[in-house]
Amino acid sequence: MTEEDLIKKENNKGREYHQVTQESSQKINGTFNNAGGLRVDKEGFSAISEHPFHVFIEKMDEPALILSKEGKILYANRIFFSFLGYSQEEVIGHSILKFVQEDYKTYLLTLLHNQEKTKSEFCFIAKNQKELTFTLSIFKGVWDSSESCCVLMSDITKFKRSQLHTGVSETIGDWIWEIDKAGNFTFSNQAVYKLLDYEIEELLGKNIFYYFFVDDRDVMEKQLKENVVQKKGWTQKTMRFRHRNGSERWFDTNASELLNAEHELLGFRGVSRDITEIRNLEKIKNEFISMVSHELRTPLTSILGALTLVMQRNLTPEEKNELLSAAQRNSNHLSNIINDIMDVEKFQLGQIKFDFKKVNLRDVVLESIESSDVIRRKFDVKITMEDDFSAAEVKGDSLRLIQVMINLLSNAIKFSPPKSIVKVAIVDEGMIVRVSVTDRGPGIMEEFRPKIFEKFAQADSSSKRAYQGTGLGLSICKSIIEGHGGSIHYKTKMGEGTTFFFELPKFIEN
Amino acid sequence: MNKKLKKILFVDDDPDAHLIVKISLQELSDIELYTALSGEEAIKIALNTHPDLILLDVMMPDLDGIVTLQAIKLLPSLAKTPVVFLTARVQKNEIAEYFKCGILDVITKPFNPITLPETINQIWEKYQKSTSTL
Repeated sequence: MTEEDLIKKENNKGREYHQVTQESSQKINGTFNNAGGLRVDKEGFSAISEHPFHVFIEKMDEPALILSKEGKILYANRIFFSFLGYSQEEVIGHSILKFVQEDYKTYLLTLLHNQEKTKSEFCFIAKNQKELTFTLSIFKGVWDSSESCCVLMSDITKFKRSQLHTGVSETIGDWIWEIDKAGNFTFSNQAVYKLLDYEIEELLGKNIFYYFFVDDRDVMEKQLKENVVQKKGWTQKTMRFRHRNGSERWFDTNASELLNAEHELLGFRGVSRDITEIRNLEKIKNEFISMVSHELRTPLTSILGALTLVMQRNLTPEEKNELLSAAQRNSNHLSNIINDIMDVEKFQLGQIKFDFKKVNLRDVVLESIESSDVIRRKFDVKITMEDDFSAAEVKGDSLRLIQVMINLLSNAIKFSPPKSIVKVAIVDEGMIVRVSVTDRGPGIMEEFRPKIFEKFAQADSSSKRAYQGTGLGLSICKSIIEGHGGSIHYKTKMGEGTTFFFELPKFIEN
Repeated sequence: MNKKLKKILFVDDDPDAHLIVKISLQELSDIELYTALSGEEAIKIALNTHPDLILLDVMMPDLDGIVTLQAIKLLPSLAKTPVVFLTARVQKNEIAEYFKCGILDVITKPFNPITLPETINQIWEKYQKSTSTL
């Protein structure tokens, strides 16, 4: 169909006809006679005499009907049969309502009854049950000396579908696409640009497999072949697509089959919802559960094991003492883990209250080193302290500052090679006091650095990770130091080690 | 004729777990218990002692349980030694991964030290039955 009105005039015995396109408001008025009557040609279609009107209507490239006042089909051109797939016997003499979708019947009857000059959209049902949308231009006339009407039909099915695509599909964030049965894209909405960074134009004509990762192609090809054989779409299939930048994006995909009038498969139409973020969150959640589960179960194993053996076995006093010590050590460790988890929640809700007093950071550091002795011995490292012996007094909550120091020392010890030294330094910087903890560990990987103070941050959450812990410590340290009006930082070099340091304002009387 | 369980190698980076298992397995008579604090140490001890069964922790520094298991499977003299994971990491997907790697069984932490000897005996008997039918 062209966008311009196509006006055709046929003058015959003073009668005038106008063919009207869907965009035009031109109407046809007049009368028409069945001068030659119906006949059947060799193709079995309804044909008509060489009367100019009949020639005109038969030569049209859109369906056309002549109806009685009651809606009975008196004549249909060849195009009508080829569009809707019915035979002449199934059409001629039958009511037009037989071919119109239920919702449109009443309205069409009204129009026919009133013999209004009108143009409206109607949905027809083809023989293969496919819905086709037409604009009907109806105008009254005379056929075989009886009042009747001529219906010129203009197929707008594709237009309606493209309206659906470009209208509805562009308003939603999901990726809507169509592929042919070989997997080549025939349609995509704009969402593909946002989700995968591909332009629609570059996508169209390319095969869907091109956008899968190489590892997935064989499986996906096999699955698509099965869908093609079965002429069936799919539901809730998780598919991994390749973003232009090479990263993987995961989509929940539903697709339905596209069939033509002969029930042959044309391809598939799909809706793909990006679930990458959901998958990532799920992964983080699982890793966290696994990590917390391990961190809680490990000390619990020693506590329960030790106490059960003490209560239910005949043991020597030495064995009992050893087991009870193990139970106590692990109870403290478990208590610290639970406190960390609770603290994170409290900091987040702003429920932590500090008990500020004049605190000597030297005392804080010494007490922290003493408290870290068990883990220090376990990892076989030494701790040294460099002190400029200046007044290292700050306004602070000593218990919370000890918590910070124990966390920093614990990290440094865990990351240090055996027999190495962890250095603690207190430095007077004028208005502030700086405390640093330096290890000779592997250093912090570059990709992990931006999130080092985030909750549950761990460079490696797999079972291969060398260093245990909840990943909450540094987040808590940051919250405590910032709650004291200070700041916490780090310097790191791969293969050489890391220094964490915090700075607090010096205590000022009054 | 079933082979008797005589030598067990227990591998865990937590010294307190060594203490619990050592006292727990005193119930098993005529058992020689060897212990290692890391995967690397475990391989060295296993090569020297040829244990009948290895109890292996998963979460360990440097060589974790899975890598240690893979290394054991590559050593001809140890490849057939049955390995049981004793671990706190027991999510469904994790357990599936362990069995894919070729472990005999999994004992979940925390375990009951009173019933641990019996559990190990049952696993050993099951293993003996499965190997005798091959």
